[in-house]
Amino acid sequence: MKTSFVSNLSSQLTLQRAITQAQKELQQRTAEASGDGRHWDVGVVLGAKTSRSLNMHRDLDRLTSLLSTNSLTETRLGASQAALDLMAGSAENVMSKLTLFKDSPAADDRNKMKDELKNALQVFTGAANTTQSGEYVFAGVNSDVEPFKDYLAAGSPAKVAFDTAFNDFMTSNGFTNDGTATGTPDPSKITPEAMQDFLTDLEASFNDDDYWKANWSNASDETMVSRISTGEQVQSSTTVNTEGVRKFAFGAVVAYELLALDLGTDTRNATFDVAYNSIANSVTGVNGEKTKLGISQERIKKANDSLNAQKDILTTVIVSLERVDLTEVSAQVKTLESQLELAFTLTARMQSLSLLNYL
Amino acid sequence: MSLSDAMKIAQANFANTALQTAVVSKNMTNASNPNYSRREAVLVSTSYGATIATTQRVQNDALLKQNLVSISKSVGQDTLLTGLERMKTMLGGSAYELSPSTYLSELWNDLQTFADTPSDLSLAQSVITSATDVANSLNTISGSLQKLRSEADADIAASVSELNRLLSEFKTYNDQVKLATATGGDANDALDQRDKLLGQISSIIGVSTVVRANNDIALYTTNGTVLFETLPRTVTFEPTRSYTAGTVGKAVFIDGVEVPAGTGGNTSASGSLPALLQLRDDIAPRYQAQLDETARGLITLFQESGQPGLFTWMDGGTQATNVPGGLTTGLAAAIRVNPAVLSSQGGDPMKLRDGINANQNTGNEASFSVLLDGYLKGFDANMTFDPAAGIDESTTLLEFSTASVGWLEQQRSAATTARDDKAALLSRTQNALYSASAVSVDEELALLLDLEQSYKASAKLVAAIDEMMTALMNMTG
Amino acid sequence: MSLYGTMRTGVSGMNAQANRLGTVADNIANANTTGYKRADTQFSSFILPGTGGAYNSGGVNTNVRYSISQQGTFTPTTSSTDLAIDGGGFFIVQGSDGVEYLTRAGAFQKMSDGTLRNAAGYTLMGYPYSSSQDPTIVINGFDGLSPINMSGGGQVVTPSSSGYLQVDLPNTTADGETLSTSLVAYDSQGASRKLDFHYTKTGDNLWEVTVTYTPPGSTTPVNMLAAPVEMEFNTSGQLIAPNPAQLVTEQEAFGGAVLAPLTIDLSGSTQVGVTALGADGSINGSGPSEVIDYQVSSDGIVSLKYANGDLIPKFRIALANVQSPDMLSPLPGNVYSQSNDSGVIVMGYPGNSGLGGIVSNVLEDSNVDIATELTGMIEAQRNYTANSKVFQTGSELMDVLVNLKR
Repeated sequence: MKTSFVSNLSSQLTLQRAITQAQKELQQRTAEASGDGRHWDVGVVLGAKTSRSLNMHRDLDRLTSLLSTNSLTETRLGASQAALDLMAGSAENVMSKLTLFKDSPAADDRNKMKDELKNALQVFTGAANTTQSGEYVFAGVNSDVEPFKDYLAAGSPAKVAFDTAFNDFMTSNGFTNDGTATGTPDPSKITPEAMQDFLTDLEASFNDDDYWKANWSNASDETMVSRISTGEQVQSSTTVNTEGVRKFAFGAVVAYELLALDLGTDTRNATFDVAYNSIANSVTGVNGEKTKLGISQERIKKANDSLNAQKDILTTVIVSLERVDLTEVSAQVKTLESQLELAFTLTARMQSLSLLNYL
Repeated sequence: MSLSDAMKIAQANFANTALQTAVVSKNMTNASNPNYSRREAVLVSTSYGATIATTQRVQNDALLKQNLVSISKSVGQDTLLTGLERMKTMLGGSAYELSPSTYLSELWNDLQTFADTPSDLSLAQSVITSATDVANSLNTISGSLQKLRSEADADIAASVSELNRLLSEFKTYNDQVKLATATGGDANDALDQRDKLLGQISSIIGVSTVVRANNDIALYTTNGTVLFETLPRTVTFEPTRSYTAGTVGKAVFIDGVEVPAGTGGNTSASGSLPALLQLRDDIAPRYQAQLDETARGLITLFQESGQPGLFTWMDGGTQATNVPGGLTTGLAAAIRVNPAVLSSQGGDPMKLRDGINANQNTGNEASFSVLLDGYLKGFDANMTFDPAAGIDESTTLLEFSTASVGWLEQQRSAATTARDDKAALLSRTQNALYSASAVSVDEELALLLDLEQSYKASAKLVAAIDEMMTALMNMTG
Repeated sequence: MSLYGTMRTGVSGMNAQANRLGTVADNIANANTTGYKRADTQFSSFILPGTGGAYNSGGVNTNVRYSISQQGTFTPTTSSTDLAIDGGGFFIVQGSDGVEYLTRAGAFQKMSDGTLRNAAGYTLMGYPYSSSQDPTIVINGFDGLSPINMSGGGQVVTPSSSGYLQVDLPNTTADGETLSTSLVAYDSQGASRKLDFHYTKTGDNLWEVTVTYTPPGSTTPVNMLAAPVEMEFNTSGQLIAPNPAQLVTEQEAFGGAVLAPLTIDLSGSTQVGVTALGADGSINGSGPSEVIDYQVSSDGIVSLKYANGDLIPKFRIALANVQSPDMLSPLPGNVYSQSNDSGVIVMGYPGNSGLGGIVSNVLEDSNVDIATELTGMIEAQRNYTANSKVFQTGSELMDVLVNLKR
């Protein structure tokens, strides 16, 4: 039998529980408000939807990583473009030098021209062997080897092949000091027609893949392909096996090796025309590659725009899933604070409200 | 009535007041003792005219029963939630940094990057590292999960021996209550102890009480198994020391009847015992099956030429050469990254690009990506998973791994909500119980004032009678 | 009419008051004696017949009375063998001389031989307890009584004989599934035997009950029923078979002990929509336990309290009464014996007509009131003085008379 329906234990417990509960809540709300704005325990709030949230996070990561690989691809394309510019530039340089020395068959001038051509060839070779983060950009998928062999290097297979072919041509046609196959070659004896045939054959061999890959190129024909969005792949490199490079190599070698010789005027003019035309064609070819890569660059820009848009959408959805409403949280914090204060005040009041104090 | 009678009655009142004061002071001493029920010294008129005080104990059986139910539900839910929280911790913080799904997603990303630049050894290395992370994550979580099971098993063993001890102690106090009730003695202290023990027992397993003659209590579990009836029934359990994924834990028997495990996130478990059984036999093995299926998915996805590729597994002590066809218990603990691609073990990471079991890159091209693209396609393709895992049976590996996290969080979310509800219910029940049966110091103080008045009045009475007697004596003088 | 007569009358008055003072002295002396009944004096005139103008003074006659039937107040005590009678009647006690007396003084104590003896050394008498028949009570005599003896309380065992088990069976149980519960029974030597009750569902509304006992250290259960008992419920889930709703187990021997056939009442069992087996049952009997206390009930049954809560009745206290209790003759030690005027002794049990109930842990105080006694004393004193004055006056007059002759 009990007369009252309250006990010290129950009133104490009620307040204690109210206080601990409010403190716990306050701590969590404060952490939510001051932290990254996510729910205190996202998993508990989301439950099974956690998997959705994780999937979106993964997609978001994927988009971010696509964006970063796209920037890598862009860098590679940029490097390729710059190198192609250099290559086109050196081709144009060769053309201007050729024009400059066209009517100066003197030995001094020929040597000067040879030096200029050597420079241009070196610049071109350097550009063709451009690397971007350790990869040769013009090597196609065979990106770990130098794609364009240096013609000027000692014992370069291209030079050996050319020299052999040229010697055979001189000796077999009897363009020697004594007209026999064993005599010393005399370039002045070369007839324009013979030279024309020789150059036609040589050009054909430059266009032959086996010859080209054996002497000039280590690159694969297959160009690199990059994924720039979840559904799109683009060509992200070109190779030195393209027509522009071959034409330049042919023109430059012809000019470098033959125009420096003491040729007859007609022969020299014929040779000059072949070399000049080939270089001029090479500029067109290089520019063609530039256009191809330019299209890829454009695709990447478009893809990036779309990726960024998707990223924004995903971020918004994730935020709406995981984030707390800060206004609501701050209102809750205020309520909790006043609740706590009330509980503290009540505790103090109830302590003083004891019959003991009135006896 | 005579003066002597008056004196006697006043004397009796002293004794009554003393007893009442003793009861009041006992009440005040126990004001903060939650296991104490308030006593009240009641004055009764007996047939022979005297008034003597008897001590009654405040008791509210309905609230007490409700309290026992609340305790066992709350403790059961708490136990389950603690286990789920521990499983959640295995997955890292709020971003699930350590979960297989996170590492899988990293692996997928790295593989994409590598596929874009297949010539880059460092990218191949990072794929291998990610793959190692995935395998390690599966191994670690699988290990932690089995540790959780073995700890739950140890907890069950501890709970069982505690339950046996509590039951034998319960017999002591129940016998005291029976005796005191049968012989009209004071059973109050024994009742306090018995109620306290009931609380402790119901925190281990939910009980329902049946009161029999002489306030003798028989205890039944919520499933109707006899726990105590005249004598405590034996609770038996054979602990299993160490657990692997395939280990089946032993059941707990009360009076020869198996204790059923709780079910669901908002668990049906009453008390810690069924909740621990649920953790050990339902939740953890279910999650293990999900991990095993994730591991199988990985091995299947990266298989090459019909043999395990990037991921392989240890079948016993040796590296397996077959791809498991279905749910293989313990696969998550056995999955490894193929040593053939681990440079630390003399392998070549580039074999990932070229083929581990047979060289597919016959052209020896640095940017060969046929295999890599194949793996990436595999990530997007639906796979078939075992229904024992309890989640989507046909989905992609990545989605399966996140669905596994979602499954755990769903359980935890339900458990958290239920814990809050059950804790609130317990709090309310306890409050009601304490309001009804605990001590209010103010009330006791007021009662004490009353007693003081009564005592003073009796003293006055004695003094008055004494004076009257003295007057009488003087007269005879 | 004579002066001597006057003087004798004065002496008679003084004697009467002296008697009264005597009772007052006794009453005051025994004011705190348990069960003491106060003595009182009543006077009657003794007047001589007068002749004409002569008056012969007589005297006063003293009559001592006892307020034996007036109940005293009660004082609670802590001893369970302190007894008081609430109402009429007397305890029957036996003096060391072997003679029975009546008394209200119930301050009994247990002696080494197990008997109960009060402060005056009298032993409490009663009849050995029998639940089946009351002892033959004799009128005007104490035959058949024996001293109440509380010794001989060794370990007792109450073997089980019957019990009840009311179960609520879940109707969702699949056929063939078995639910179990258990109850503890005690064999003839007080060892506990746990009986397992198995309920197997055999069909719609049909269950089969088996009872088994598994000996310690064994895993083979012993069947306790000759054949399984079929339980059948009607559509509303009430038990309709067996009828009567009970089962009887087989007698089972355990070494030297025997578990007697137990009749288990199954009535009240139901088959309802519960999720788990609900059971409420008990089997009587108790294991070995020792005497821890005594208890005297209000109807005079003296029982031994055993540790398991059992009360085993041993004796029944008899009370006696007479038609006129106040006329009993008091003897030393607060005892009374039958007198010619008291009427015959009638025996009975506490609570019977005319006899009070027995209260344990209580003593009956004396019915003396000090104030009454003191005022009576003063009155007696004054009366005595007045009588002495009468005597003195007579004496002085005699003196005058003697001095007439010089």
